[in-house]
This record gives sequence, C-alpha cells and structure tokens, in this order.
Amino acid sequence: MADEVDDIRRAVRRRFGNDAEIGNVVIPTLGGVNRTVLFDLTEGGRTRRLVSRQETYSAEDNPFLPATQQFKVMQVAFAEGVPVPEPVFEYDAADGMGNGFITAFVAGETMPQRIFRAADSDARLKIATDLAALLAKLHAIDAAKVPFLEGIPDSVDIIGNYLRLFDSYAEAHPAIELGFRWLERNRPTFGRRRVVHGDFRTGNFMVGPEGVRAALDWECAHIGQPMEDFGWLCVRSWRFGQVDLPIGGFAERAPVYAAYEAAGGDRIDPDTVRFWEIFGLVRWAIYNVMQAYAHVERGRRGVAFAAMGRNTSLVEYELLMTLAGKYS
Amino acid sequence: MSQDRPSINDILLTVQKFLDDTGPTLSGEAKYHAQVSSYLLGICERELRLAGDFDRKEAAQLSEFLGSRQPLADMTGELCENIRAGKYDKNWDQVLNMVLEQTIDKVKVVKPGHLAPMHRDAQ
Repeated sequence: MADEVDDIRRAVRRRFGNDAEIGNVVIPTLGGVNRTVLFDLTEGGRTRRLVSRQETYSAEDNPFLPATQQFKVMQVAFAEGVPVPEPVFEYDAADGMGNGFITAFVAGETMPQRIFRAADSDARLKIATDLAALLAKLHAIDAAKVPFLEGIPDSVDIIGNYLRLFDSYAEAHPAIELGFRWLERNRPTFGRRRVVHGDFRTGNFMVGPEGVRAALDWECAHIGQPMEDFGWLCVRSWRFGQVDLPIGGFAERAPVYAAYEAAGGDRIDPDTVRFWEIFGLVRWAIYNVMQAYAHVERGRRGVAFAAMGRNTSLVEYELLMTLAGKYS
Repeated sequence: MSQDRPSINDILLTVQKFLDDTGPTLSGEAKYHAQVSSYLLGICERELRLAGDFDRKEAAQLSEFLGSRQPLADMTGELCENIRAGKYDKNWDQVLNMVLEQTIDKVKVVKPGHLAPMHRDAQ
C-alpha cells in the first residue's frame, strides 16, 4: 500500500520491524523549507506520536546547521536533561530520504499570542523562569560533547559572520552600520564559551499550562557566549507586542536573571545582556535584508519575503531607539 | 501624460480593499498571503504620497552633513563607510539622531503604527 508517507513507513520498519505501523498522519502547512510529518508509531505494543523533519532545500549559503548536527545537539541536550523533543532516529543513506530525523512529538502551544492569552501573570512568570532554568541547564553542557559545532562560522565569530553576510547583500543601511559600530566599541569581556541555542525566542518553545515543555528549532545552535541566548530572547520583536516585558513578552528581567543564577547559571551582568540584545536587533535586521536579497536577486520570490525586506526599517527603528536609550 | 481617473493611489487602495474583503474568505497560506499583499499595497500607496518629500529632506540633510552634493544613494554609501571607519565616534549622538530621523521616515512609509507615540504624525 503506497501513500504519501510510504517512505517514512519503510524507514520506520527498517528500525522497528515489519509489524511497525504508522497512522493518524498530519502534514502541517508551515510554508517552510522542510517537509514535516506528524504521525503515530505503533510498535512493540506501544503507540507514540512522532514528528519527521526532512530538509527539502539546501543551498550553499544556507546558514542553518545541517540536520545531522541538529539531531546530535538535540541528543546531547536530551541526555543532559534539557527539555527537548526526544530524538528517535536520523535518516540514513539507505532510507533515500536525504537529511532529516524523527523526534517525539511534544504537545502544547508555540504561537505567542495564544500563549499570552492563556497565561495570567503568574503563569507568564513561571514560563519565563522555566526558560531561565532551561538555559542554565543548556549552558552547563560541556562543549566538548558537541565538538562538531566548533567549526561553524557562528562559533568562530558570530558578529564577524553577520557582518560578512550583511556585506554580501550589498545594500546600504546606516542604522545597521551604527549597530555594528556600537558593538565594536562596547564589547564586554567575554567569558567561557558555552553551547548556546542560537534561536531561543518566543515562538520557538512549546508551552503547556504548567510551563515550558521543550525548546524547539535547534538549527542555529553553536558555541558562544551564553548571554547571546538571553539577548536574543529580549529582542523587542520577540516580545510580540508585550513590549514592557523584555523576557520574551513574559516577564521583567530581574526575577528571570535570578532564576537563571538559582538554577546554576553564571551571574548575569545586565550590560552584557544588553550588548547581545543590540546584536540580536542587528542580526534580525540583517535576516530581513537577506530575505529581500533572496527575493530580488536569487529568485526565491514571494509576498512574505518582499514584506520582510521592507520590515527591515521597523527593526532598524527599534535598534536605534534602543541605542538612544529610549527603548529598553 | 495626463492620465484618466482614478489616480494610482486610488487604484492601490481599491485593490487593497478587494484583498481585505477577500482574504478572510480564504484559508491557510493563501489567507496569510492576502494579508501580506494588502500590507504591501499600503506601503506602495504611502510611498507614492510621501517619498518625494522624504527623499528631498534626506538629501538636503546628508548634503549639509557630509559637505558635498551627490546623488542620495552615493551620500548614503559615504555615510555608511564613515560610520564603519569610526569617523563619527566623537559626534555619535548627532549621527544617531540623524539616522533615527531618516529611519522614522522609512517607517512612516512601511508601517506608521510601529512608531512610538512621540514619533507619530498628529492625526
């Protein structure tokens, strides 16, 4: 019986035997560059809900971590007790499905506005302190357990890497230049390098009524300064309208920093977080510039990419207002 | 060329209204793309109305600041090179305010509601 998930069924049976069955298949339309399939796997007398993700697009300038490395980072994070969907297996050459992997499905909500609506102020603070504890656990991982991350550009010099990307799009942006110049002149003393998530923001974690269930989207993981994760979490765009609650739209900074330290994280210097927040704004602005570049110059056209190009100015405004001390 | 009614701004607003009326009847990605398309037409309409004044203002400001008169794109490029070279580290606030002012004008075209109240035009 061939159907649209025949390849996944074959891959599953290679590992769990010919009695393994898959059912309740859902294929979300995420509009992304990956093929994502949700399904129930029944084998050995038990049924689990799983998610299959496959890369369907790979370009030379793809800045994201290859699927095989994402899978390995998630395996290490899972083994160290970081809440992350349990890695099940990675596709191999014999599967003939390219790069991809299967993890457990974690139920819950990722959409920021829905999370905000469902959570009162206590629940929001719980989410934010859960995030802090999650980061403390992640940042405690011995970087030697993910040695393959050392070579990627974001691990070597993430700010320099974004400057190089920015230059490759050949578009003049005085606001972004001011951001880079500020970073050059205000660089804090860097501490020990850690495993960082790299895309730790509202929208990229699964939340339930009791709190945070899992960190998702590991394709930007690298080795770097742990406060980069906090800075990115605080970027104004990721507050989704709750601008007075800098920790992802959930909470004020102080109790969340305290929760990080209580969970074993290093003492947090607010100025260092601010440095990485400024970098986050620069990075997000460049990401928008990149989408417009791909739309205009690389034939990856679409209304959403066109809009992102113009939305660069919205991020630039937030960057400049932050640099001017008018936004915090 | 003297063109007949309606004006280009009127056409854009008319097509935008069509998208706003039709979008909600669609689902999934098409619904989202209708919203984004309407948003893009709003940008076009405002740019046609505002860009002439904004460009003249920006060119005059840059020309005075840089002490040279060149096409706007060249002056913006020079400003960027100078920022990167650290030439404005001493008058940082002045340059920051100038670039902020120019960015506010960009946002007035793209999404005026994104501006803090202090930067919004009086209605």
